[in-house]
Amino acid sequence: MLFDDAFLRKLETLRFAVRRSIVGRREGERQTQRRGGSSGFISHRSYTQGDEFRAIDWNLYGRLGLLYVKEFAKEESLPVRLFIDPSRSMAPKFDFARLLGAALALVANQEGNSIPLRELEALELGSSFVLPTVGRGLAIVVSDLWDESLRPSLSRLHCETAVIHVLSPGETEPALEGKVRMVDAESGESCTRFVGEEERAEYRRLLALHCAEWKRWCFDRDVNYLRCTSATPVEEVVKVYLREAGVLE
Amino acid sequence: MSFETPGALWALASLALLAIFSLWRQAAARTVVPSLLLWKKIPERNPPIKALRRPKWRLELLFQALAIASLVLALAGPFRQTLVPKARKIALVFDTSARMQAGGRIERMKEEARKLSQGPLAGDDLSFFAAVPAPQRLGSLSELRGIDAHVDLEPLVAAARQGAEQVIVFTDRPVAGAHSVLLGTAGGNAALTELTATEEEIFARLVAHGEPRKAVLRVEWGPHRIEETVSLEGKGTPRGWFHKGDFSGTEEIRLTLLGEDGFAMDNTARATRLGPAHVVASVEGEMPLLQRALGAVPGVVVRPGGGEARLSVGVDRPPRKAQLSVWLHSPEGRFLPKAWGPLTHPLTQGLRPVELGQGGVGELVAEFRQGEPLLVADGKVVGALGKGILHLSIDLAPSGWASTPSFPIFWKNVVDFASRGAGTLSVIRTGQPYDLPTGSADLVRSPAGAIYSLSSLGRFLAYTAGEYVFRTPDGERRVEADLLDERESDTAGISRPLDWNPEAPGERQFARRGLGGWAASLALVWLILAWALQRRTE
Repeated sequence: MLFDDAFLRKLETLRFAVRRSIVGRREGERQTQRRGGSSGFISHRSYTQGDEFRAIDWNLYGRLGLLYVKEFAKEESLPVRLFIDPSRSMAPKFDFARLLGAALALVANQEGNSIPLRELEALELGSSFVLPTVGRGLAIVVSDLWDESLRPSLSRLHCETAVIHVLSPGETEPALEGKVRMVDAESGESCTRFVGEEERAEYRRLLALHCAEWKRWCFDRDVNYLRCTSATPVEEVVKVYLREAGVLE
Repeated sequence: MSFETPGALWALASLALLAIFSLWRQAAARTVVPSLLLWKKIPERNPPIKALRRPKWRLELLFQALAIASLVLALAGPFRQTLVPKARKIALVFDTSARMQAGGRIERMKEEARKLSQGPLAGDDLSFFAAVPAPQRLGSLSELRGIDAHVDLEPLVAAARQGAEQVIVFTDRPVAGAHSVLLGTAGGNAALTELTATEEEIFARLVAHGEPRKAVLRVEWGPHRIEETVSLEGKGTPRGWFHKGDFSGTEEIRLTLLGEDGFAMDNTARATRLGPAHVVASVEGEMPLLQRALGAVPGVVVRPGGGEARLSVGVDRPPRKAQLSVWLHSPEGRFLPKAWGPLTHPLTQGLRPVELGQGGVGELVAEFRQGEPLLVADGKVVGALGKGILHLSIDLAPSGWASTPSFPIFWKNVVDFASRGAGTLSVIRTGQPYDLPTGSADLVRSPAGAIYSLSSLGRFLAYTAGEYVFRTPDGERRVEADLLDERESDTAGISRPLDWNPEAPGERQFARRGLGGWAASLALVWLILAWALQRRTE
């Protein structure tokens, strides 16, 4: 069991909170600005040939003598795309990322999406992380954001986007001590530093700046940004963090 | 475990250096981080002192320390004492002097040496030294033999001591600085220790050891024979004896000390004339001063105008063929020399350079400069000896060299060199070199198994007493090499067993089993492990 029953029941009550108008292909639960349907009234418009006869607002016709047609919002499913960073730098938090992805996939699937959990399971660490162009729906990106080349890829996503910035405890509070030859997990490049309290404090300061920069960058582009550590229970991230960030409701 | 050089263990202090060095140069721990993005922005700095106080003890450092410790251990020469006796280097020195032949002591020395080598010295590293006749190390005891001359033991013992911890000398009298096995024999030996003979007199020195006694001395020359009873004081007191007479026509004089004693080798002596009594010198050319100088040399008969001679001289013309020919050249390109080369040849002994060049000299022409240069003035060859001809280019004017004392000295040298004592009654002693007359360097016969040497220049050295026959220009001549050495006359000596107990506990060292090789191997292993570990870490 990936999650316990209580959490699964909680997932059933969650749904994605979307700020933009979205257009889906299939009719589902999501209310869109696409006219039609039968649930929520939106506005009136003049009758044109071909409109459904039952859509005419006869009360208005009685008062004004003009034919107006009632328009209702159309209930559609929300296309959700989930992108989990499989690069080598994700090694210490990859399991966390996949688990979080699974929880989000369950939420997405109950909104009419069909994200196969098997694909999440088959995801392999070490492959390249490429973001495709997405035109509509919701794109959720789970990454450690060490790759600066992600910025243009994220910019190309013309849809509602949420970036979940995952860091491991070793990244937020590095346990390095003494003379260390550090090797970059991605490039294999190395550098040697003596690491003491002074260096660790400087690292923490730089990390805070780094995260703040990403947050600012996302804010400027109307992208939802959420930072969490892989030590945090996925349930807590989903129930608290994502709701507070406005990704779920 | 003990150490050959415990002082080397101080080198273990280098471990402290290793520790200090490792503090400064600790190998960086390798860590994979998700990104270097932030770390690269942090400036590099040297480890603070606080960090140095807590070094990380890595396995690699431990191996390095062990390698150094093992190496130091190896250098200190670790060993384990065993109960196996250590082979001592012992040199056995044998006195092969002539007197040791008395009483069969050469064989007794061998026997004593065998007993020691098979007994108390068994297991030791023995080497044998003896003068046979040159001081040398023998391959085995079987090479040991006596010689008929005196042997000075001091250089032999010194040579033996070079590579030996103990030296044992086999002789008949105590030797300073070495242990000894003394082999005495019957005393009371009487000996002839000296003989000289001239045309008018025979002189001999006799000695007897032990009690005073009377001895009969027989003297034989030509058809003559006399026997004379001589009183000897004994106890090694020498006594002179002489006999006057006309021995000018005598070829050989033989002395024999009659009577039995244990050592017969020193009871006879012989004086032999190796050539004619007179040297004939022929002189060609006008040179009155030369004839006078030659005529002043005893035994020289000057024959002006040439003829058969042992020595021939030619003034400004080629001399006749002789044992030695001298060609005097009037100097060409005459110069007064400032510096002379060394005058070391027998022909130039006693000459004064300032007198030689008094009237001027000239360089010999290239044809005559061949051979051995004898007189070199200002770098130019003035006199040279080659193929039996001596060339001289010196002014012989009456006011020059010919008027100085060097002139007759030179001609005396020339006569001596030409005759080499051929005309005198010569006594040849064993162990002492003797220059045979020119042209006598051809040995026809020698005693069986004799030890002798004869150089191409006619220097004869015999270590075996007895009769030798040489071919001389005047026919075959028999000579006898005699001992004639007072030091060898006392054959009694002292008998005493080895004055050293090789088996005394204090004299015996026990073998050590060296552990240096193991320590060195261990050091290598630690070094390889440290290296491999370092490679793996990198």
